[in-house]
Amino acid sequence: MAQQPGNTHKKFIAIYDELSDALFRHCVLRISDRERAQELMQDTFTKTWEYLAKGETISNLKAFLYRTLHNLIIDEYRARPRSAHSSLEQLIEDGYEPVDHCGARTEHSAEARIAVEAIQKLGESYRDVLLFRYVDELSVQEIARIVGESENVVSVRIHRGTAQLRELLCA
Amino acid sequence: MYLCVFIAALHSYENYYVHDKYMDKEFEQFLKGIKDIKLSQKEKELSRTRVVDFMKQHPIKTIATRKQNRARFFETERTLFVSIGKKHILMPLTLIIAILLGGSVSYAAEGAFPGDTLYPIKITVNEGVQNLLAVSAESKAKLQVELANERLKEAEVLVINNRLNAQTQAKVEAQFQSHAEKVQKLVEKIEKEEKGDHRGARVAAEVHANLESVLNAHEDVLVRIKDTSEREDETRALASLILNVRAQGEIASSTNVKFDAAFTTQTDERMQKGAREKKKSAQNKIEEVKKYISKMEARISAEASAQANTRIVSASEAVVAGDVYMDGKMYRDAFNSYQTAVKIAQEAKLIIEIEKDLKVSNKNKSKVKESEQNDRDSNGGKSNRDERNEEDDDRKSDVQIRTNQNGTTTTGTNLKIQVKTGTSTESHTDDDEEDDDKEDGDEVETEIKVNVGGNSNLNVTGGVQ
Repeated sequence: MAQQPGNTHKKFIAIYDELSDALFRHCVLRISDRERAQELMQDTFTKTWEYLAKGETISNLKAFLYRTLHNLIIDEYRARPRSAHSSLEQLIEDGYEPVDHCGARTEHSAEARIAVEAIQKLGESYRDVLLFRYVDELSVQEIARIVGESENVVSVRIHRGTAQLRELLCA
Repeated sequence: MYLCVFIAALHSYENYYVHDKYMDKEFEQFLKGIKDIKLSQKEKELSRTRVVDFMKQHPIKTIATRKQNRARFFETERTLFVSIGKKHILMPLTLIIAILLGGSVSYAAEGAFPGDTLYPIKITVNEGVQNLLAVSAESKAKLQVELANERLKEAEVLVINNRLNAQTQAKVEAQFQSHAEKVQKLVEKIEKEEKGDHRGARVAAEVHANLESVLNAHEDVLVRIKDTSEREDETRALASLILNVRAQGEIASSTNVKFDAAFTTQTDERMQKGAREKKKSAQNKIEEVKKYISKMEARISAEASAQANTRIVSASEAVVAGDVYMDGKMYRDAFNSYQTAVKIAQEAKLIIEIEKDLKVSNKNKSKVKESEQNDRDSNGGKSNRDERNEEDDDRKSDVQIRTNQNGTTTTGTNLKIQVKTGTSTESHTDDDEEDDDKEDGDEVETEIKVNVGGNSNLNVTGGVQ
């Protein structure tokens, strides 16, 4: 990022506008708590900003944000053992304002329901990499660095996770 | 559904080849469904406001504010533990009194120069503490680069104040050399550390480039100062320092050659990506420095301006050279070109910064003669020292210092730390080697020498003076 204060500010806010939804979605699909997910998403940005404010530079901001979020989620798991698939309905319903999705609403809900159910049935390690790869569109290398595994392990997980997801979807 | 049967059959063979081609309907619907999960407009804006507020409360730190924070760091925020063994002995009352003096002493020491009474504190205590706090090899290396930079800046300010002679120069030069050498060692360590994705090599290359910028920028400034110097002892001292700086520069650039070997083993795709990112950094850097130069043009000399501008031109040329390599798919060479561009641009910026700081010190030099040492009520041209000393008056000067027994990595660092107790600590009476500079003994009543060695060895000598 450019190191001039004004520039970095604007760029960072632009990144927020671009990625906040994606980060929130990633978070909520893993911790099933909408409010908390929003907080963690916020924290991701503030923590990243703190790092930048110290004068550090980040070459891959998207990956950095996701890594920060990933770590926050892990902390969340430790602090609060998850209750099973809570507020699945909440998850889906709250995302919509009548204004945005008038007619298509019912259709999307159904798809979303299936999708979320499936994703929550997957094992954690599969689910995470699938989210990173297909929903957040990160590269295998980036994912490997975020989760702290080798690229091979990540690749294999993606393959197997996809296979399992197929089963769930077709069932 | 035949599709499902087909899929079931497929993955019963655990066929990995199809993984990414699996863009069938179910999957697409799945993705679509997933992507519908998002924040409502209201929620998004609320969070946005919070993030923006946070950003305002945490402005980006420049080197000026960083220096302030370093001193503050030492004083109140990070407390290092002097846990000495298992017994606790009550500290003498005089030690407690020492605290009141302790804080402001280290704070004021930050602005000290060779020959000042407090300079030893700046070196051993303040910077020693920073060293302890930097845990990873990377942050240590960055710190050492910064310290080398600091030594050279001190030399330049000394010249301005007509205080550079054989003794002061020798002090500064020795320190500078030790920092530069530490950078080399740490960089080797970094390179070995993270072999996984060659991140170690990249970080090492960056640290190296930083060091080179610092060395080159200062070399130019020092040469310029030397040419305009009228005193012979000053000229000689400068000549010696310049030789040293150049020598370190040679070492730095020759070590760079080693890194290329690490890069050749990278696959083309990764290297290409790395090169592209480096190019962006280079372009950003050049833009930033260009703006900086035009902003500062009025405040610095014509030569400094000219030097900075020539460098910017070279930096742009290096980017062009990099582009040529990219076209030829020589990604490693492209990366190196872009890195060079960043380095040269950084040099340009440093030259201007150094010049600016020197001008300010020059202004202050005459003011110091008029006003008292502690009265920093200057009208214009506040230096870093000014701002810090003004804050000092408002600041309370109590300090708690405890040193962590296990967390340190340097061996045999000698720190002089003033210790506070509200609680009790014990003190051995092991005698450490005497430190040459005991001038600070005049300022405080009690000092404790701490030798931090190896893993968990902490020897503390206590004394009352």
